[in-house]
Amino acid sequence: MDEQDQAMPAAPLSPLPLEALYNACDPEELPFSSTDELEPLGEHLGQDRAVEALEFGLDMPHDGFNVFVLGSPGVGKTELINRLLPTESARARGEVSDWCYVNNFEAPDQPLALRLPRGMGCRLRQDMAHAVEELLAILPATFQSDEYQARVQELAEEYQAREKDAFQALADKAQKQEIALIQTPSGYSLAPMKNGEIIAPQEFEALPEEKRQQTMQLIESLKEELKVALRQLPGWKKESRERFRELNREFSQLAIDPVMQELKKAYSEFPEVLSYLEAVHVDVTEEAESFTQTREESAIPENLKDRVREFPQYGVNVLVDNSELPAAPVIYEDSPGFANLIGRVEHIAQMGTLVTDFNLIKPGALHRANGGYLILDADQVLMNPYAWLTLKRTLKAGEIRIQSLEQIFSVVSTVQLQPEPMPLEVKVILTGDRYLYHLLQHYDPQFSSLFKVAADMSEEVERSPASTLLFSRLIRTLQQREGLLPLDRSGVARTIEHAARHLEDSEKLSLHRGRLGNLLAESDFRARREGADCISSHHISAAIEAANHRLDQFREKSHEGILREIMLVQTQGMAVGQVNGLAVYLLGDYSFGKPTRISATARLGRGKVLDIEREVDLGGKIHSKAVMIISSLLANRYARNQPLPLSASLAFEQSYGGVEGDSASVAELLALVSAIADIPLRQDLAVTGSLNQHGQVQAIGGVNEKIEGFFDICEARGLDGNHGVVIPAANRVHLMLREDVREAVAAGLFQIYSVSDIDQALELFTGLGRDVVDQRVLTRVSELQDLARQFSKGKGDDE
Amino acid sequence: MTNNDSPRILIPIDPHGISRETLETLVRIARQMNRGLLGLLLDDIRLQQAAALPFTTEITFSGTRERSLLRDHLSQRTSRVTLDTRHTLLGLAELNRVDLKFEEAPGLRLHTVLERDGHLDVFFPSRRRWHLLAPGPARGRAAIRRLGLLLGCGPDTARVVDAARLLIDADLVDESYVLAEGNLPPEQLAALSHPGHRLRIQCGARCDAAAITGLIQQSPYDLLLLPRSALQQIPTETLDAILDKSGSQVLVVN
Repeated sequence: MDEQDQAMPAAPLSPLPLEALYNACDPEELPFSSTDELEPLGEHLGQDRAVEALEFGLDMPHDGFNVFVLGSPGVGKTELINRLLPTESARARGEVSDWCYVNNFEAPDQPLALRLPRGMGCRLRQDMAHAVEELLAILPATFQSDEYQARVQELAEEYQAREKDAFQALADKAQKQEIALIQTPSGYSLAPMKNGEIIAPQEFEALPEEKRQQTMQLIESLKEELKVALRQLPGWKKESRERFRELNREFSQLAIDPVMQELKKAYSEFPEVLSYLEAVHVDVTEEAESFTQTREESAIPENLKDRVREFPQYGVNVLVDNSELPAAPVIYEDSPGFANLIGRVEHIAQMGTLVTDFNLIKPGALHRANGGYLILDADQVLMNPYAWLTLKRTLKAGEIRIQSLEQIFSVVSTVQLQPEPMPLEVKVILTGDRYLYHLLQHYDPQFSSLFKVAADMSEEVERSPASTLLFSRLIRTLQQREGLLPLDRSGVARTIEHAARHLEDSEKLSLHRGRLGNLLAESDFRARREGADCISSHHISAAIEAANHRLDQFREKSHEGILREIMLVQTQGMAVGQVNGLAVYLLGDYSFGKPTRISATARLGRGKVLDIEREVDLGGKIHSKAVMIISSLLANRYARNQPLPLSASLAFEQSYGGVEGDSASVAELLALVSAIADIPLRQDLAVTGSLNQHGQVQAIGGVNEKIEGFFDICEARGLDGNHGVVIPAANRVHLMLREDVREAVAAGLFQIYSVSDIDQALELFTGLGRDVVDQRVLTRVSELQDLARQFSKGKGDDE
Repeated sequence: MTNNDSPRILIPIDPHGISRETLETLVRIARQMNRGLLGLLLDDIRLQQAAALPFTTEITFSGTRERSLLRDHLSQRTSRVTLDTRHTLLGLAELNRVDLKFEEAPGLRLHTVLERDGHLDVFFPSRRRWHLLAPGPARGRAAIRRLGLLLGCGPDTARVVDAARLLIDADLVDESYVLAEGNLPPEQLAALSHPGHRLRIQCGARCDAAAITGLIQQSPYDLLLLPRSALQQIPTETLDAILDKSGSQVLVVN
């Protein structure tokens, strides 16, 4: 305040007029009688900035331009995304494909990923199943054919004859020398003969020594030849088996080749599939015998279909089938756990062991969204262990690598797969509140490189005739979507007023669709219960009151404590060093105001204002800052050129929780000045407002609840026309007071004052002008300075 | 179940052993033909004689090892093989409710079992060592894929046809190959016809000893049904030798 102002007598401060307390919406000004007459809102009311950012993010093709949609829960983030990204016409980010996993015949623990045009995945699966079915029918017949059996017989006979010839020749040679070649159960033996019969031992002993020696030598010689012949047998066995295999291969190919050639021809345009089919061809040929295990019931075609399951190695695991998609995939994953994001490999128990194969690979949201868009709740991603790390790693790598946590931490010893990673082309849209976004920006260095686009949703819109009408159409949209009764114009007007009240700004409207939807739904319920055919203002009011009432018990108990004078709050008379401050309690969506006594004491000291709350760690940092500002303001105002020889103490009486914020600064200064200068303050007034070092009063939050909190106490004790609340002038635009408060004001029983500087507040509370107050403070300061000097002198004399 | 009085099929059991598959086929045949089984435990006389010599050794198929063929060693091995065969046959007979008894006939040669009294059919197991198992199910396929029948070589042709018909009707046979000396009478043709069963007929088959010897030795069939009379003209020594090396299982119908 400059000198000229100080010279002018201050005009008495008037309470705010009734119309300043509430920005009503006049139903008559609404150009419709019912919301049924309105077109649903096709645009995004108040979200131009977010829409622009989101459109940019969705269109931007470069890496890292993923989007984070910021906004409080219920503001309509998902709805906005859905509107800009319709599932039926979302533009593809790359080629939208079907993705399959197939067996890797060379390394079965590393299944191969196949990319196919949309709809071809299922076709390949069917074709493979059909091919296996065909082979199950053809191969047994092939191996049972006369031609094959004859060739097998021929082969066996060839070796039978070869062996027979070899041993027959030896047997003949031996026989000529009167030695018998005898087959034993496990080999051959040689024995001397006489007259075609095996010689008896006695007869052999009776032979001349020379003859015996000769016979024995002969047997030894034949044994060597026998061994030579026998040594050929394993070679012949091996050879016969090889020829038999070759024969089987030849016949297998006769059956398999046409089937596989047909498949290869069908997929000739797809080199990866062709390469896979080549591998299948080789494997089927090698394993042809397994197809020949026919069963009695195999003659029935349906049973053959069932038998296809016995050959899982030739299956095609269609991980992503986009055949039915009209556009690019838009996936909203509401449970973005680690496995739900990148997929998982399941196991089945077999004989007490967990086993798996490529058919047990399950897709994750990233697989399903590949080529399109993935929408995730940021807090859900962050709350799920390793989901955030995995999402970042996957986006950075540009490929989906399916791994299990067990695999990552090496905590299990079961069979694990390492499926071939799939290339990833996806736009991720995270939704979350601003706090989360800024936390990630601050603490996660990778976040800003992966989520370069922030779509910041507006929580409010300027209140104007145009926006009011758009808001009405928004109501219409919600009404239509939720199947609610229409609102008449009074209902719309009341809803608009509540939207402003909720935002604590008479000049703005809350865009919080969640709360708006809840209010409309409850109002609809009440209207229907009444049998009304539309929702009117009293339904809306009843819904608001009921919603408040459901959470109102704490406020009632709190106010009850004041009214029973358990909590000391004086609402009449004058008192020195105490003032009624106003606190607001936030309980989730519900908040209420409550008066609280703030007291101060002052004494000789060294110019320090003691914040008792701070001293006992009940005061927050902002409150401490506010007290320091007050201290500075006092010193600047009353002791600019000399020390301020006083110590003061401030306390929130009967406050047992923490105190935070600076909205009690005005009240604290009033209490301090009152305590210093011994000036009584009005107790029928309550005050709220923050201060700067120059004594200007600044805006605070929760102004409506604070006023209503003091009003409730005063009304309960009886309004006498002097009660009122002092608020910062800057908070006038925020006033959307309850109807009963407005009625009391209209009746002259309650007043709302707005002040822009501390002098106005002092005048209201003391009834004294600034000069008088300052003079009394300065006098007291002067007294304290004298006391201080005396004290110092006395102390010096003592020394 | 067959009873003690039922005619029997005789199976010579010697130290060379019989595969379980062969025994299974035999028991199924016996059940279908409503016959009991008689296991005749034989020695291999020549082998015994050779083992009696103090210096005789055996060169084994596996590893070409030379080992002693002393009588005691041979006896142990023979007992083990015979016991195994006996156990298997007992189990299969019980399972299929086929009457079974055993007799010991040391010193008897293979051909001599044909000369036993009674209406005994004789089953000679295959001695073929070269056997290539074609891919495909063993269970679903008939026990006898190819049945060979020699008809018209003696007065007991009707018995052979009867035996074949029983096996064919019981779906034990996939295909039958009839080797007939002359034309096949229509009633025999009708008896061997069965839905789903393939019948092939070759007329003009020879019934002389050399042809039958060759047939037994080179038999391409899984089971060859022969009338007893067809073997009468074959010298006993030859008969022993060819039965010892038969290419397929042979059922001599008496």
